[in-house]
Amino acid sequence: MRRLTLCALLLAAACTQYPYNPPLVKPQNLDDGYRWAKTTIPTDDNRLFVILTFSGGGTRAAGLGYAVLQQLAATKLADGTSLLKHVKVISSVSGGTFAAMDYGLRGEAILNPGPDNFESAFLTKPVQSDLIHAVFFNPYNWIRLASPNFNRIDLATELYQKVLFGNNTFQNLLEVQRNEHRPFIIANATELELGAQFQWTQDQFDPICSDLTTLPVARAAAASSAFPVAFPPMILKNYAHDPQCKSNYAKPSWTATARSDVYTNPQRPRQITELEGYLNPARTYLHLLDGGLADNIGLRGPFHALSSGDTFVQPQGPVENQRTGFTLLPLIGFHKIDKLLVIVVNAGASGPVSIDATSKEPSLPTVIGGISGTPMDNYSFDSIQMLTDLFAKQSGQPTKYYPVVISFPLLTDKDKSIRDIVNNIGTSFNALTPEQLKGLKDAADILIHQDPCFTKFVSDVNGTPPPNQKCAFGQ
Amino acid sequence: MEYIFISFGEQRIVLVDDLACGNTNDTIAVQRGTHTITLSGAPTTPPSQIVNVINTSFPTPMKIEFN
Repeated sequence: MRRLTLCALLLAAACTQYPYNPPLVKPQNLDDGYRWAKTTIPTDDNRLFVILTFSGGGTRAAGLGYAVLQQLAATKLADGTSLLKHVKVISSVSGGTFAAMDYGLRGEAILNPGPDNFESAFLTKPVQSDLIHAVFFNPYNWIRLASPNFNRIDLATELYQKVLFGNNTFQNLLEVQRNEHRPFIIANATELELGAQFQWTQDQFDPICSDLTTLPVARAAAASSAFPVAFPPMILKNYAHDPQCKSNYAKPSWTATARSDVYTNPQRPRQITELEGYLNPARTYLHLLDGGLADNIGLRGPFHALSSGDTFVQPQGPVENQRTGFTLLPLIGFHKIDKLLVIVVNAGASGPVSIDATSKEPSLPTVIGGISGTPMDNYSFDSIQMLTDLFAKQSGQPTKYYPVVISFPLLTDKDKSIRDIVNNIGTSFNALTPEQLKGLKDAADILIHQDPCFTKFVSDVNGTPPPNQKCAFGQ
Repeated sequence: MEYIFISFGEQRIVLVDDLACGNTNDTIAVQRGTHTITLSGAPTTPPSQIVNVINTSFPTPMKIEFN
Protein backbone atom coordinates (compact mmCIF):
# COMPACT_ATOMS: atom_id res chain seq x y z
CA MET A 1 0.00 0.00 0.00
CA ARG A 2 2.84 2.36 0.92
CA ARG A 3 4.56 1.58 -2.37
CA LEU A 4 1.35 2.27 -4.23
CA THR A 5 0.93 5.63 -2.48
CA LEU A 6 4.55 6.52 -3.21
CA CYS A 7 4.09 5.63 -6.89
CA ALA A 8 0.92 7.74 -7.05
CA LEU A 9 2.74 10.71 -5.49
CA LEU A 10 5.69 10.34 -7.86
CA LEU A 11 3.30 10.13 -10.79
CA ALA A 12 1.48 13.24 -9.59
CA ALA A 13 4.80 15.05 -9.25
CA ALA A 14 5.95 14.02 -12.70
CA CYS A 15 2.69 15.29 -14.20
CA THR A 16 2.83 18.74 -12.57
CA GLN A 17 3.84 21.32 -15.12
CA TYR A 18 3.26 25.04 -15.31
CA PRO A 19 1.88 25.66 -18.82
CA TYR A 20 4.38 27.08 -21.26
CA ASN A 21 3.82 30.35 -23.06
CA PRO A 22 1.80 29.61 -26.23
CA PRO A 23 3.16 29.89 -29.78
CA LEU A 24 2.15 32.68 -32.13
CA VAL A 25 0.00 30.88 -34.67
CA LYS A 26 -0.68 33.84 -36.95
CA PRO A 27 1.54 36.25 -38.89
CA GLN A 28 3.28 38.94 -36.84
CA ASN A 29 1.06 42.01 -36.82
CA LEU A 30 1.78 45.24 -34.95
CA ASP A 31 -1.97 45.78 -34.78
CA ASP A 32 -2.31 42.77 -32.46
CA GLY A 33 -1.21 41.97 -28.94
CA TYR A 34 0.03 43.84 -25.88
CA ARG A 35 2.42 46.31 -27.50
CA TRP A 36 3.05 50.04 -27.90
CA ALA A 37 1.45 50.23 -31.36
CA LYS A 38 -1.78 48.65 -30.12
CA THR A 39 -2.19 51.07 -27.19
CA THR A 40 -4.02 54.35 -27.72
CA ILE A 41 -0.93 56.35 -26.74
CA PRO A 42 0.69 56.96 -30.17
CA THR A 43 -2.50 58.72 -31.32
CA ASP A 44 -3.57 60.29 -27.98
CA ASP A 45 -2.98 63.92 -27.05
CA ASN A 46 0.67 63.84 -25.99
CA ARG A 47 1.42 67.54 -25.36
CA LEU A 48 2.41 66.56 -21.83
CA PHE A 49 4.20 63.23 -21.78
CA VAL A 50 5.25 61.66 -18.50
CA ILE A 51 7.38 58.51 -18.19
CA LEU A 52 7.94 56.77 -14.86
CA THR A 53 10.53 54.13 -14.10
CA PHE A 54 10.17 52.00 -10.95
CA SER A 55 13.26 50.24 -9.67
CA GLY A 56 13.65 46.96 -7.88
CA GLY A 57 13.94 46.66 -4.11
CA GLY A 58 11.09 44.44 -2.84
CA THR A 59 8.22 46.11 -0.98
CA ARG A 60 10.47 49.15 -0.41
CA ALA A 61 10.45 49.73 -4.18
CA ALA A 62 6.77 48.88 -4.55
CA GLY A 63 5.95 51.30 -1.73
CA LEU A 64 8.07 54.13 -3.13
CA GLY A 65 6.55 53.71 -6.60
CA TYR A 66 3.08 53.75 -5.05
CA ALA A 67 3.94 56.86 -3.02
CA VAL A 68 5.11 58.65 -6.18
CA LEU A 69 1.83 57.74 -7.92
CA GLN A 70 0.02 59.33 -4.95
CA GLN A 71 2.12 62.49 -5.29
CA LEU A 72 1.32 62.75 -8.99
CA ALA A 73 -2.39 62.23 -8.30
CA ALA A 74 -2.23 65.10 -5.82
CA THR A 75 -0.43 67.42 -8.28
CA LYS A 76 -3.16 69.41 -9.99
CA LEU A 77 -2.53 71.24 -13.24
CA ALA A 78 -4.09 74.49 -14.39
CA ASP A 79 -6.55 72.66 -16.66
CA GLY A 80 -7.94 70.75 -13.68
CA THR A 81 -6.32 67.42 -14.52
CA SER A 82 -3.92 65.66 -12.21
CA LEU A 83 -0.37 65.03 -13.36
CA LEU A 84 -1.03 61.31 -12.95
CA LYS A 85 -3.43 61.46 -15.91
CA HIS A 86 -0.51 62.38 -18.16
CA VAL A 87 1.62 59.36 -17.28
CA LYS A 88 1.97 57.46 -20.56
CA VAL A 89 4.59 54.84 -19.78
CA ILE A 90 5.74 53.01 -16.65
CA SER A 91 8.81 50.83 -17.04
CA SER A 92 9.42 48.69 -14.00
CA VAL A 93 11.69 46.14 -12.43
CA SER A 94 11.16 43.57 -9.69
CA GLY A 95 9.34 45.09 -6.68
CA GLY A 96 8.46 48.18 -8.70
CA THR A 97 6.58 45.96 -11.16
CA PHE A 98 3.92 45.19 -8.56
CA ALA A 99 2.98 48.87 -8.18
CA ALA A 100 3.23 49.55 -11.92
CA MET A 101 1.19 46.53 -12.98
CA ASP A 102 -1.49 47.04 -10.33
CA TYR A 103 -1.87 50.67 -11.40
CA GLY A 104 -2.06 49.58 -15.04
CA LEU A 105 -4.86 47.16 -14.21
CA ARG A 106 -6.88 49.08 -11.62
CA GLY A 107 -5.91 52.72 -12.11
CA GLU A 108 -6.47 55.27 -9.35
CA ALA A 109 -8.57 52.79 -7.37
CA ILE A 110 -5.32 51.42 -5.97
CA LEU A 111 -4.57 54.83 -4.43
CA ASN A 112 -7.94 55.43 -2.79
CA PRO A 113 -8.58 54.54 0.85
CA GLY A 114 -10.19 51.16 1.28
CA PRO A 115 -9.58 47.46 1.61
CA ASP A 116 -8.67 47.03 -2.06
CA ASN A 117 -6.02 49.70 -2.33
CA PHE A 118 -2.41 48.75 -2.99
CA GLU A 119 -1.39 49.25 0.63
CA SER A 120 -3.93 46.78 1.93
CA ALA A 121 -3.70 44.39 -0.98
CA PHE A 122 0.07 44.11 -1.16
CA LEU A 123 2.34 46.45 0.80
CA THR A 124 1.09 45.40 4.23
CA LYS A 125 0.61 41.73 3.35
CA PRO A 126 3.25 39.20 4.47
CA VAL A 127 3.85 38.01 0.90
CA GLN A 128 7.30 36.65 1.64
CA SER A 129 6.06 34.57 4.61
CA ASP A 130 3.19 33.30 2.47
CA LEU A 131 5.68 32.22 -0.16
CA ILE A 132 7.93 30.49 2.39
CA HIS A 133 4.88 28.76 3.85
CA ALA A 134 3.76 27.62 0.41
CA VAL A 135 7.21 26.17 -0.35
CA PHE A 136 8.13 24.57 2.96
CA PHE A 137 4.94 23.88 4.88
CA ASN A 138 2.39 22.79 2.31
CA PRO A 139 2.68 19.04 1.53
CA TYR A 140 0.62 19.45 -1.65
CA ASN A 141 3.29 21.84 -2.95
CA TRP A 142 6.11 19.47 -1.92
CA ILE A 143 4.71 17.00 -4.44
CA ARG A 144 4.36 19.62 -7.13
CA LEU A 145 7.85 21.03 -6.50
CA ALA A 146 9.29 17.54 -6.89
CA SER A 147 8.38 17.78 -10.57
CA PRO A 148 11.20 18.87 -12.86
CA ASN A 149 8.62 21.04 -14.68
CA PHE A 150 7.29 23.04 -11.73
CA ASN A 151 9.42 25.17 -9.45
CA ARG A 152 9.33 27.99 -6.93
CA ILE A 153 8.90 30.72 -9.53
CA ASP A 154 5.74 28.97 -10.76
CA LEU A 155 4.50 28.84 -7.19
CA ALA A 156 5.31 32.54 -6.82
CA THR A 157 3.22 33.27 -9.92
CA GLU A 158 0.24 31.53 -8.34
CA LEU A 159 0.72 33.43 -5.08
CA TYR A 160 0.94 36.82 -6.83
CA GLN A 161 -2.27 35.95 -8.69
CA LYS A 162 -3.98 35.10 -5.41
CA VAL A 163 -2.71 38.15 -3.53
CA LEU A 164 -2.89 40.92 -6.13
CA PHE A 165 -3.38 40.27 -9.82
CA GLY A 166 -6.11 37.62 -9.94
CA ASN A 167 -6.42 35.95 -13.33
CA ASN A 168 -5.74 39.15 -15.27
CA THR A 169 -3.85 38.56 -18.49
CA PHE A 170 -2.01 40.88 -20.85
CA GLN A 171 -5.20 40.99 -22.91
CA ASN A 172 -6.98 42.47 -19.86
CA LEU A 173 -4.10 44.92 -19.36
CA LEU A 174 -4.40 46.02 -23.00
CA GLU A 175 -8.18 46.40 -22.77
CA VAL A 176 -8.06 48.67 -19.72
CA GLN A 177 -5.29 50.71 -21.32
CA ARG A 178 -7.44 51.25 -24.41
CA ASN A 179 -10.66 51.89 -22.49
CA GLU A 180 -9.23 54.08 -19.73
CA HIS A 181 -6.17 55.51 -21.52
CA ARG A 182 -3.90 54.10 -18.85
CA PRO A 183 -0.12 53.97 -19.22
CA PHE A 184 1.78 51.38 -21.21
CA ILE A 185 3.31 49.15 -18.53
CA ILE A 186 6.63 47.54 -19.38
CA ALA A 187 7.71 44.87 -16.89
CA ASN A 188 11.38 44.04 -17.30
CA ALA A 189 13.17 40.77 -16.64
CA THR A 190 16.63 39.54 -17.68
CA GLU A 191 17.42 36.69 -20.08
CA LEU A 192 20.08 34.75 -18.23
CA GLU A 193 22.32 33.48 -21.03
CA LEU A 194 22.08 36.51 -23.31
CA GLY A 195 22.45 38.88 -20.36
CA ALA A 196 19.84 41.02 -22.09
CA GLN A 197 16.87 42.94 -20.80
CA PHE A 198 13.62 41.10 -21.56
CA GLN A 199 10.49 43.25 -21.75
CA TRP A 200 7.07 41.67 -21.24
CA THR A 201 5.56 43.14 -24.39
CA GLN A 202 4.51 41.51 -27.65
CA ASP A 203 7.35 43.32 -29.43
CA GLN A 204 9.74 41.24 -27.31
CA PHE A 205 7.68 38.06 -27.76
CA ASP A 206 7.60 38.39 -31.57
CA PRO A 207 11.16 37.12 -32.17
CA ILE A 208 10.46 34.04 -29.99
CA CYS A 209 7.20 33.56 -31.91
CA SER A 210 5.06 33.47 -28.79
CA ASP A 211 1.70 35.01 -27.97
CA LEU A 212 1.82 37.12 -24.81
CA THR A 213 -1.91 37.90 -24.84
CA THR A 214 -3.18 34.99 -22.76
CA LEU A 215 -0.36 34.95 -20.20
CA PRO A 216 -1.18 36.16 -16.68
CA VAL A 217 0.40 39.49 -15.73
CA ALA A 218 1.48 37.78 -12.50
CA ARG A 219 3.88 35.79 -14.67
CA ALA A 220 5.66 39.01 -15.65
CA ALA A 221 5.80 40.20 -12.04
CA ALA A 222 7.27 36.84 -10.98
CA ALA A 223 9.94 36.86 -13.70
CA SER A 224 10.74 40.51 -13.08
CA SER A 225 11.40 39.79 -9.39
CA ALA A 226 13.04 36.35 -9.66
CA PHE A 227 16.09 37.24 -7.63
CA PRO A 228 18.90 34.75 -8.36
CA VAL A 229 19.33 31.84 -5.96
CA ALA A 230 16.17 32.76 -4.03
CA PHE A 231 14.26 31.81 -7.17
CA PRO A 232 15.17 29.60 -10.11
CA PRO A 233 14.85 31.16 -13.58
CA MET A 234 11.43 31.23 -15.21
CA ILE A 235 11.48 29.14 -18.36
CA LEU A 236 9.79 30.30 -21.54
CA LYS A 237 9.59 28.27 -24.72
CA ASN A 238 11.18 29.81 -27.81
CA TYR A 239 9.13 28.86 -30.88
CA ALA A 240 11.26 30.79 -33.40
CA HIS A 241 12.13 27.55 -35.23
CA ASP A 242 9.23 25.43 -34.02
CA PRO A 243 6.83 24.00 -36.64
CA GLN A 244 3.93 25.55 -34.67
CA CYS A 245 5.31 29.03 -35.39
CA LYS A 246 3.34 30.93 -38.02
CA SER A 247 4.56 34.47 -37.40
CA ASN A 248 6.84 34.83 -40.49
CA TYR A 249 9.10 37.06 -38.40
CA ALA A 250 11.66 39.02 -40.40
CA LYS A 251 14.41 41.15 -38.91
CA PRO A 252 13.54 44.87 -38.84
CA SER A 253 15.03 47.11 -41.52
CA TRP A 254 17.36 49.07 -39.19
CA THR A 255 19.47 45.93 -38.75
CA ALA A 256 20.60 46.20 -42.39
CA THR A 257 22.96 49.11 -41.70
CA ALA A 258 23.43 49.14 -37.91
CA ARG A 259 25.89 46.25 -37.84
CA SER A 260 28.58 48.52 -39.26
CA ASP A 261 28.30 50.92 -36.29
CA VAL A 262 30.57 48.89 -34.07
CA TYR A 263 32.87 51.88 -33.45
CA THR A 264 30.48 54.83 -33.78
CA ASN A 265 27.61 53.35 -31.75
CA PRO A 266 28.33 49.84 -30.42
CA GLN A 267 24.91 49.67 -28.79
CA ARG A 268 23.32 49.05 -32.22
CA PRO A 269 25.34 45.96 -33.24
CA ARG A 270 24.90 44.66 -29.71
CA GLN A 271 21.14 44.87 -30.13
CA ILE A 272 21.43 42.90 -33.37
CA THR A 273 23.43 40.24 -31.50
CA GLU A 274 20.69 40.03 -28.86
CA LEU A 275 17.97 39.80 -31.50
CA GLU A 276 19.86 37.11 -33.39
CA GLY A 277 20.35 35.33 -30.07
CA TYR A 278 16.58 34.88 -29.79
CA LEU A 279 16.48 33.64 -33.40
CA ASN A 280 19.26 31.09 -32.85
CA PRO A 281 17.79 27.61 -33.58
CA ALA A 282 19.72 26.16 -30.64
CA ARG A 283 17.96 28.48 -28.21
CA THR A 284 14.74 26.53 -27.75
CA TYR A 285 14.05 27.91 -24.28
CA LEU A 286 14.65 31.18 -22.44
CA HIS A 287 15.58 31.46 -18.78
CA LEU A 288 14.37 34.66 -17.16
CA LEU A 289 15.60 36.17 -13.92
CA ASP A 290 15.14 39.43 -12.02
CA GLY A 291 15.04 42.48 -14.29
CA GLY A 292 17.51 44.18 -11.99
CA LEU A 293 20.38 42.12 -13.36
CA ALA A 294 20.17 43.95 -16.70
CA ASP A 295 18.80 47.30 -15.48
CA ASN A 296 17.69 47.79 -11.88
CA ILE A 297 15.89 51.09 -12.46
CA GLY A 298 13.97 50.18 -15.62
CA LEU A 299 15.34 53.18 -17.49
CA ARG A 300 17.04 51.48 -20.45
CA GLY A 301 13.81 50.80 -22.36
CA PRO A 302 12.51 54.38 -22.11
CA PHE A 303 16.01 55.70 -22.85
CA HIS A 304 16.09 53.63 -26.03
CA ALA A 305 12.65 54.92 -27.00
CA LEU A 306 13.80 58.51 -26.43
CA SER A 307 17.02 58.20 -28.35
CA SER A 308 16.53 55.56 -31.03
CA GLY A 309 14.21 54.59 -33.84
CA ASP A 310 15.67 51.10 -34.01
CA THR A 311 12.45 49.15 -33.79
CA PHE A 312 10.04 47.19 -35.94
CA VAL A 313 8.06 49.25 -38.46
CA GLN A 314 4.90 48.01 -40.17
CA PRO A 315 3.36 50.00 -43.02
CA GLN A 316 -0.38 50.59 -42.59
CA GLY A 317 -1.73 52.61 -45.50
CA PRO A 318 -0.41 56.18 -45.58
CA VAL A 319 3.07 56.62 -44.07
CA GLU A 320 1.74 58.61 -41.12
CA ASN A 321 -0.36 55.60 -40.08
CA GLN A 322 2.55 53.18 -39.83
CA ARG A 323 2.73 50.99 -36.72
CA THR A 324 6.00 50.84 -34.79
CA GLY A 325 7.60 49.31 -31.76
CA PHE A 326 8.25 51.48 -28.70
CA THR A 327 10.01 54.61 -29.92
CA LEU A 328 9.18 58.24 -29.21
CA LEU A 329 11.18 59.70 -32.10
CA PRO A 330 8.08 60.05 -34.36
CA LEU A 331 6.13 61.89 -31.63
CA ILE A 332 9.12 64.17 -31.02
CA GLY A 333 9.97 64.62 -34.71
CA PHE A 334 6.42 65.60 -35.65
CA HIS A 335 6.25 68.00 -32.67
CA LYS A 336 3.49 66.11 -30.85
CA ILE A 337 5.18 66.45 -27.44
CA ASP A 338 5.62 69.89 -25.85
CA LYS A 339 6.94 68.84 -22.46
CA LEU A 340 8.48 65.51 -21.59
CA LEU A 341 8.97 64.56 -17.95
CA VAL A 342 10.90 61.44 -16.95
CA ILE A 343 10.75 60.48 -13.28
CA VAL A 344 13.24 57.82 -12.23
CA VAL A 345 12.09 56.25 -8.96
CA ASN A 346 15.12 54.49 -7.53
CA ALA A 347 14.50 52.70 -4.25
CA GLY A 348 18.12 51.63 -3.87
CA ALA A 349 18.97 51.73 -0.17
CA SER A 350 22.15 51.80 1.86
CA GLY A 351 21.43 49.99 5.10
CA PRO A 352 23.66 49.92 8.17
CA VAL A 353 27.33 48.92 7.94
CA SER A 354 27.45 45.14 8.19
CA ILE A 355 30.31 43.45 6.30
CA ASP A 356 32.84 46.16 7.18
CA ALA A 357 31.83 46.28 10.83
CA THR A 358 33.89 43.18 11.54
CA SER A 359 37.02 41.37 10.33
CA LYS A 360 35.01 38.14 10.03
CA GLU A 361 34.81 36.52 6.60
CA PRO A 362 31.38 37.29 5.13
CA SER A 363 29.05 34.37 4.47
CA LEU A 364 28.62 33.02 0.94
CA PRO A 365 25.09 34.53 0.56
CA THR A 366 26.49 37.92 1.65
CA VAL A 367 29.28 37.71 -0.92
CA ILE A 368 26.81 36.64 -3.64
CA GLY A 369 24.59 39.57 -2.65
CA GLY A 370 27.55 41.93 -3.02
CA ILE A 371 28.60 40.47 -6.36
CA SER A 372 25.11 40.88 -7.82
CA GLY A 373 24.22 44.15 -6.12
CA THR A 374 27.32 46.24 -6.80
CA PRO A 375 27.23 46.06 -10.63
CA MET A 376 23.47 46.72 -10.51
CA ASP A 377 23.98 49.94 -8.52
CA ASN A 378 26.84 51.11 -10.74
CA TYR A 379 24.81 50.41 -13.87
CA SER A 380 21.85 52.36 -12.44
CA PHE A 381 24.14 55.32 -11.86
CA ASP A 382 25.33 55.15 -15.49
CA SER A 383 21.78 54.93 -16.80
CA ILE A 384 20.79 58.13 -15.01
CA GLN A 385 23.92 59.84 -16.30
CA MET A 386 22.98 58.81 -19.87
CA LEU A 387 19.51 60.31 -19.44
CA THR A 388 20.73 63.63 -18.07
CA ASP A 389 23.42 63.84 -20.78
CA LEU A 390 20.78 63.16 -23.44
CA PHE A 391 18.43 65.81 -22.06
CA ALA A 392 21.21 68.36 -21.59
CA LYS A 393 21.86 68.07 -25.33
CA GLN A 394 18.23 68.93 -26.19
CA SER A 395 18.33 72.62 -25.16
CA GLY A 396 16.69 74.93 -27.67
CA GLN A 397 14.42 72.32 -29.22
CA PRO A 398 10.65 72.67 -29.50
CA THR A 399 10.16 69.79 -27.01
CA LYS A 400 11.24 70.65 -23.47
CA TYR A 401 12.77 67.88 -21.37
CA TYR A 402 12.65 67.48 -17.59
CA PRO A 403 14.56 64.66 -15.82
CA VAL A 404 13.67 63.94 -12.20
CA VAL A 405 15.40 61.46 -9.91
CA ILE A 406 13.73 60.20 -6.75
CA SER A 407 16.42 58.52 -4.68
CA PHE A 408 17.02 58.21 -0.93
CA PRO A 409 20.58 59.65 -0.94
CA LEU A 410 19.01 62.94 -2.10
CA LEU A 411 17.27 63.30 1.27
CA THR A 412 19.27 65.92 3.15
CA ASP A 413 20.38 65.78 6.78
CA LYS A 414 17.28 67.82 7.62
CA ASP A 415 15.31 64.68 6.77
CA LYS A 416 17.78 62.23 8.29
CA SER A 417 15.15 60.44 10.38
CA ILE A 418 13.12 59.65 7.24
CA ARG A 419 16.27 58.68 5.35
CA ASP A 420 17.21 56.26 8.13
CA ILE A 421 13.79 54.66 8.14
CA VAL A 422 13.65 54.05 4.38
CA ASN A 423 17.28 52.98 4.09
CA ASN A 424 16.68 50.31 6.72
CA ILE A 425 13.78 48.65 4.92
CA GLY A 426 15.22 45.35 3.71
CA THR A 427 14.93 44.07 0.16
CA SER A 428 12.21 41.48 0.59
CA PHE A 429 8.49 41.01 0.17
CA ASN A 430 7.85 41.34 3.89
CA ALA A 431 4.94 43.52 4.96
CA LEU A 432 5.82 47.17 5.51
CA THR A 433 5.19 48.50 9.01
CA PRO A 434 3.06 51.65 9.35
CA GLU A 435 6.25 53.58 10.18
CA GLN A 436 8.03 52.28 7.07
CA LEU A 437 5.05 53.04 4.84
CA LYS A 438 4.82 56.57 6.23
CA GLY A 439 8.59 56.96 5.74
CA LEU A 440 8.28 56.05 2.05
CA LYS A 441 5.36 58.43 1.56
CA ASP A 442 7.20 61.26 3.31
CA ALA A 443 10.36 60.54 1.28
CA ALA A 444 8.40 60.67 -2.00
CA ASP A 445 6.73 63.93 -0.96
CA ILE A 446 10.03 65.60 -0.03
CA LEU A 447 12.07 64.26 -2.95
CA ILE A 448 9.59 65.12 -5.66
CA HIS A 449 8.93 68.64 -4.41
CA GLN A 450 12.58 69.51 -3.81
CA ASP A 451 13.52 68.51 -7.35
CA PRO A 452 14.13 71.65 -9.47
CA CYS A 453 13.08 69.98 -12.72
CA PHE A 454 9.81 68.74 -11.24
CA THR A 455 8.88 72.17 -9.88
CA LYS A 456 9.98 73.79 -13.16
CA PHE A 457 7.83 71.34 -15.12
CA VAL A 458 4.75 72.10 -13.02
CA SER A 459 5.32 75.87 -13.17
CA ASP A 460 5.89 75.72 -16.95
CA VAL A 461 2.68 73.73 -17.45
CA ASN A 462 0.66 75.97 -15.16
CA GLY A 463 2.21 79.21 -16.41
CA THR A 464 3.27 80.22 -12.91
CA PRO A 465 6.59 81.87 -12.00
CA PRO A 466 9.51 79.43 -12.12
CA PRO A 467 11.12 78.31 -8.86
CA ASN A 468 14.39 79.80 -7.64
CA GLN A 469 16.45 76.69 -8.45
CA LYS A 470 17.15 76.03 -12.11
CA CYS A 471 16.47 72.82 -13.97
CA ALA A 472 19.75 72.46 -15.82
CA PHE A 473 18.69 69.99 -18.49
CA GLY A 474 16.75 70.17 -21.74
CA GLN A 475 15.28 73.65 -21.34
CA MET B 1 21.53 61.71 -30.14
CA GLU B 2 22.31 63.17 -33.58
CA TYR B 3 20.41 65.45 -35.94
CA ILE B 4 19.71 65.58 -39.67
CA PHE B 5 18.11 68.22 -41.86
CA ILE B 6 16.66 67.05 -45.18
CA SER B 7 16.40 69.72 -47.86
CA PHE B 8 13.65 69.12 -50.40
CA GLY B 9 11.43 71.34 -52.55
CA GLU B 10 8.22 70.45 -50.72
CA GLN B 11 7.08 69.05 -47.41
CA ARG B 12 7.47 65.27 -47.32
CA ILE B 13 7.72 62.76 -44.52
CA VAL B 14 11.27 61.63 -43.82
CA LEU B 15 11.77 57.90 -43.29
CA VAL B 16 14.84 56.84 -41.31
CA ASP B 17 15.32 53.07 -41.72
CA ASP B 18 11.62 53.00 -42.78
CA LEU B 19 10.49 54.83 -39.61
CA ALA B 20 8.59 58.11 -40.19
CA CYS B 21 10.63 60.48 -38.01
CA GLY B 22 9.67 64.00 -39.13
CA ASN B 23 9.31 66.31 -42.10
CA THR B 24 11.66 67.64 -44.74
CA ASN B 25 13.13 71.10 -44.14
CA ASP B 26 13.02 70.52 -40.38
CA THR B 27 15.63 69.25 -37.93
CA ILE B 28 15.07 65.62 -37.00
CA ALA B 29 16.63 63.62 -34.16
CA VAL B 30 18.20 60.26 -35.02
CA GLN B 31 20.42 57.82 -33.21
CA ARG B 32 24.15 58.07 -33.87
CA GLY B 33 25.18 55.70 -36.65
CA THR B 34 24.39 54.53 -40.16
CA HIS B 35 20.88 55.04 -41.49
CA THR B 36 18.99 54.69 -44.76
CA ILE B 37 17.06 57.87 -45.52
CA THR B 38 14.09 57.97 -47.91
CA LEU B 39 11.20 60.35 -48.48
CA SER B 40 7.50 59.49 -48.69
CA GLY B 41 5.51 60.11 -51.86
CA ALA B 42 6.69 60.24 -55.49
CA PRO B 43 10.21 59.00 -56.35
CA THR B 44 13.12 61.30 -55.53
CA THR B 45 16.67 61.66 -56.75
CA PRO B 46 18.41 59.76 -55.33
CA PRO B 47 15.69 57.30 -54.21
CA SER B 48 17.48 56.78 -50.89
CA GLN B 49 20.72 57.73 -49.15
CA ILE B 50 22.78 55.77 -46.66
CA VAL B 51 24.43 58.22 -44.27
CA ASN B 52 26.64 57.91 -41.21
CA VAL B 53 25.37 60.52 -38.75
CA ILE B 54 27.93 61.54 -36.15
CA ASN B 55 29.17 64.65 -34.32
CA THR B 56 26.09 66.78 -35.03
CA SER B 57 24.02 68.95 -32.73
CA PHE B 58 20.55 70.49 -32.91
CA PRO B 59 21.90 73.84 -34.20
CA THR B 60 24.33 72.10 -36.61
CA PRO B 61 22.57 69.04 -38.06
CA MET B 62 23.90 66.93 -40.95
CA LYS B 63 22.44 68.44 -44.12
CA ILE B 64 21.14 65.97 -46.70
CA GLU B 65 19.70 66.98 -50.04
CA PHE B 66 17.07 65.25 -52.19
CA ASN B 67 15.66 66.43 -55.50
